[in-house]
Amino acid sequence: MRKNSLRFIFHILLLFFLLFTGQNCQTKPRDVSMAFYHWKTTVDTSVFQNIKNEKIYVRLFDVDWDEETKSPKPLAELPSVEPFKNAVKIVPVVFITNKTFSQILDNQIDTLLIHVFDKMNKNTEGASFDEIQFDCDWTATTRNRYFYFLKKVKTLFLDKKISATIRLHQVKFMDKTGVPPVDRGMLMAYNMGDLDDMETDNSILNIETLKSYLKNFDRYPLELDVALPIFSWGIVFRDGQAVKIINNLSKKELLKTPQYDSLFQQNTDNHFVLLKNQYLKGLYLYENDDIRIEEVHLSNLQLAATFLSQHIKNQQLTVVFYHLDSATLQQYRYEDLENIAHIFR
Amino acid sequence: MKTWKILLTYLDETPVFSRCRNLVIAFCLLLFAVLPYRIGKSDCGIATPAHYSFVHLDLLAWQSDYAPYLMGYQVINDIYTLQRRDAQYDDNILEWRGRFCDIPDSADVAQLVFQSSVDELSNLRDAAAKRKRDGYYQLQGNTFAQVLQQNGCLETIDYLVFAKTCEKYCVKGELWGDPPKDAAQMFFLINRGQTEFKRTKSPFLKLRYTYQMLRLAHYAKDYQAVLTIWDNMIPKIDRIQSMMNYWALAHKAGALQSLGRRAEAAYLFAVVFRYCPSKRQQAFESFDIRTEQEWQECLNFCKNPQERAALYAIRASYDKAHALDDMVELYKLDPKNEHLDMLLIRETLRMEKIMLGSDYRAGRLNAKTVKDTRTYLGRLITFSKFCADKNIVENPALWRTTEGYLRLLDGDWQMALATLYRARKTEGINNLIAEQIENYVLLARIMGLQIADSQMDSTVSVIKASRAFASDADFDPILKEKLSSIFRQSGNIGAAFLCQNSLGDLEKNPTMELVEDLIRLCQKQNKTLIERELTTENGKTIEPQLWDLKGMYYLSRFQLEAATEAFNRVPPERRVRRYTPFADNIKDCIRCPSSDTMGIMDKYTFVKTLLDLQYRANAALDQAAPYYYKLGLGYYNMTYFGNNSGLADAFRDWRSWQRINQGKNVFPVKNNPLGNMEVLDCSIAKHYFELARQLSWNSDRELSAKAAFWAAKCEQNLFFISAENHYRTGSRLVPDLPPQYRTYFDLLKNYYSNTAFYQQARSECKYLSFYTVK
Repeated sequence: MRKNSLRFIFHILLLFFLLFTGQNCQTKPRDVSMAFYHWKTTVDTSVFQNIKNEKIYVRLFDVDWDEETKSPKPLAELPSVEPFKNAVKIVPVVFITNKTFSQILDNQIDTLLIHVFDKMNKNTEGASFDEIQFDCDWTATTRNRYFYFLKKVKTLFLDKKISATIRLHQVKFMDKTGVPPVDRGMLMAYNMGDLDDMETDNSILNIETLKSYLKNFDRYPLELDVALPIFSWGIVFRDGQAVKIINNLSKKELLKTPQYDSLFQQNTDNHFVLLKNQYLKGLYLYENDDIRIEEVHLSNLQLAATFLSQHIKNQQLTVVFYHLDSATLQQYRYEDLENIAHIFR
Repeated sequence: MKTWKILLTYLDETPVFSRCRNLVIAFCLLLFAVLPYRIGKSDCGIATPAHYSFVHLDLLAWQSDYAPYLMGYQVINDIYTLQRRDAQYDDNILEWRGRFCDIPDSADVAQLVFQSSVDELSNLRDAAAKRKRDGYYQLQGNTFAQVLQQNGCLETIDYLVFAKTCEKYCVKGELWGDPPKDAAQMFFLINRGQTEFKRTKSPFLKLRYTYQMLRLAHYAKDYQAVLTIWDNMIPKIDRIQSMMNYWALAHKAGALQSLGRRAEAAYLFAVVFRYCPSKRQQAFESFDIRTEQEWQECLNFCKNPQERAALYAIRASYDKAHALDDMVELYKLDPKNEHLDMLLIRETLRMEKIMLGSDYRAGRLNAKTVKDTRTYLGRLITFSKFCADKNIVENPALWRTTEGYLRLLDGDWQMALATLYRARKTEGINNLIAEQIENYVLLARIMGLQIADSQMDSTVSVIKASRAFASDADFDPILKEKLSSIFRQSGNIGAAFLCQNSLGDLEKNPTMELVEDLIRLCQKQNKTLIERELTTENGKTIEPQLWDLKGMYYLSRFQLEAATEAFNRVPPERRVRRYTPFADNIKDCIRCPSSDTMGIMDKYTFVKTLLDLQYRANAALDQAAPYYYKLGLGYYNMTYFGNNSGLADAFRDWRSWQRINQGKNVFPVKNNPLGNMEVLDCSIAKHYFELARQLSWNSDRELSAKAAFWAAKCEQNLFFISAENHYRTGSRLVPDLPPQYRTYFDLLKNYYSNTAFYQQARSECKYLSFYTVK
């Protein structure tokens, strides 16, 4: 009898504990904010009308390896962050190619650092921001140099938070590729398929591929923000090889081409074959070229957000949409993007 | 040949080597003579090229300035790299020298124009104003400066000073620095240029002033100003022949493009592309048409068919273009256009890359690509034939020859031969094309080989003896591939294999079907010449090696009776007696000399011994322990881990260590379709050691300890080949064996520590020492 009462009390206590902790989980939603990447070299200020007061991650310039001088060089520079200054809060971003870190000599890294520091300061003059971001698809062979660079960056930008982009494979294979020495990570949940493979259905976002990468998040030491794709493109296959990318091409747009029927033949849901030589979005294409349209449907964004949300642990999170562009924003309603961000709450 | 030509060009163009060209060539020849060089069946598998190529690049006349653009850089990149020069720099010097009757030295012109400072030039001007022969000036030793000074060329020096002043606004800054963009100063200089323009009499210098002003306005991003300067200045200059006309025009085109007048800009870029080698690259890269409407507008700007033809030539030269339709238009406008020949060869190379590519040959290319390529190829053939028939292209023989080759790529070798024979008779045929025809004819003969018979023997002999065969390295592998395919089609898979691979490749992983087929071929009466070649080595039949392989195949699968049968077919004099499979070295050492010098034997004897031991052990179980122990040793030592792995495996690859935990025993090897097999299974050896251990437990503790030790080694190897193995090969650390793979080490420690063998083994075997301490 006594044993039974003890068991009853234990069960009651357990129930209270579960209710208490469960309630806690439910009543403490994540602090989620929405943001956009700006990845162009010119600023179309009309895009600001389509968004509210979100933070914008502004790519300032790229760094690539210069074969001629055997040193890193800046490329595709955004002339000024002036248009962003008053409108929104910004996070300056610098993209550095992995080739830069695979070619650079150890004794050149400090010089690169100074150049990047100077250029970032110059290009963001007058703008206020509290975070800077570096984007590099580093590998196991370049990690030491890249991480050294990041460590040194922290010593230069003492009052700024440093973040770095993290590819899905860099989380899954974190033991091999390492964890960058930064304050936060930006998980890039796109460009996950083999673009060059004709058999790939969608290299931008594929839920099955995404799921296969969702490993090791429980032990990933960095707090992560998430970047989701809201762009589309067409991959042109010729002679069995991917030869060109047509940016911002959507199925809807292609279907609206004047004299569509005499110009294209739709072979599968997202494969269109050209029936004659023609100019398309500034490119001269040939008969029999096969265009694979890759788009990100809202339903897939929702699924991606749902799966990612289950794996990301941190309480505070920014959902960044790539990228801010008037053509891109026409494909999605602002409220839908907000709802996607809400999934992470 | 191609590599050799590149080497010679490189030697000629590299000052250090050009002086000792012959010495370098002699050294290379000596090197080739001294180094062992051998191509034959015994070599490892053939590295089949990603695609075969039989087009002589010399045909392209790649020396043509147009070649890099029309052929695409990827086609002739390696050749072009050797030729690359800074055309703007060189042509500028050339023009300055020409202006002064080629009197000044090129290096001096370069120094004065590109390196001298404004101060030095001002100093020179002062000296030139005085025109004293013995007067001092800083650039006194410079022949260009001398000419200017002695002739009092003040206008020229003033221009050079002006150009030098403009320079800093018009060149790229340091990689990380910003080019000085002081618009006010740039427009101040433009105004100054206009003043100088008026003051200057020479049309040559007026043109250069105009160029400097256009450049400044362009870099200041005032594109309208560029057009204004052009309109105001150019009509005032007497027409002279100068590359500056096109350099200036390129700036006008750039400004138009920036102002959105893309069609007009493209037209002007096409003009620059056509007439100005030093700005050709920029013009080609800047040519940018984005819509059909722009294209039509651009065509409308052209003043004559040749200009329109140039537009088609540029578009046909886009990277990865399908040029045929533009070639047809080009032909209609200007059939003798020099670009047509190059575009034809470019398209031929593209077709060749696909049709003779490894993906197509292996059937990996997707059906749509194959269908589209064949359709395109058919159209290209029709067009080549049309042009050759009409006979109004610049080089009809090239078109006929190419038609023949394209037919060959299309698989019609008979029609190809007929066309090539016709090409031979074309008028005006040059040596290059004649050589090319012979190569294509030879390829057609190879493609025409059908049945492995004596007729094929003689055809192959003729093919191999021909001059063309030696002239292109791709003939040998493609002939082998063709012969292989003929044998495969007739069911001779062994011969098909040996046509493209060596016996050494087969040894790495003897495949029974191949071995047996080759044995049948060896035993065949009335072999053809090719079959004889395939089945002999140094004049001796390879049949014994094949029986040996068959024996190893069975032994590696522990099928002793079958192995005995096969080894027995190896004639005694061809059996190699070098194995000591029953040596019981405590340490596994693959290349160490065996302690068992008495027990040297061949493979046949080894297998017979194993059978005998099995018989003896079965016959008297109470005395079987030593026999089982020996059986264990034999089965252990013939594995990858033992010291006599050659018994069952002809090729032990140390790199396999990295992969033995992958659950397989055949590993990929470069250029060998069969891969490399390793005998990794120690479970039978372990079984016999366990029997020996148990049977000697009471009667012979030392033997029992030995058997336990060897069983422990087997168990450790079983761990190495298991998926649980994450031990880094080559590590100095002792592998951390999971308990289920440590049972015998535990046994040794717990039950045999009082034996002499145990003490000896502990002192010699670090693993044992480690595990027993642990």
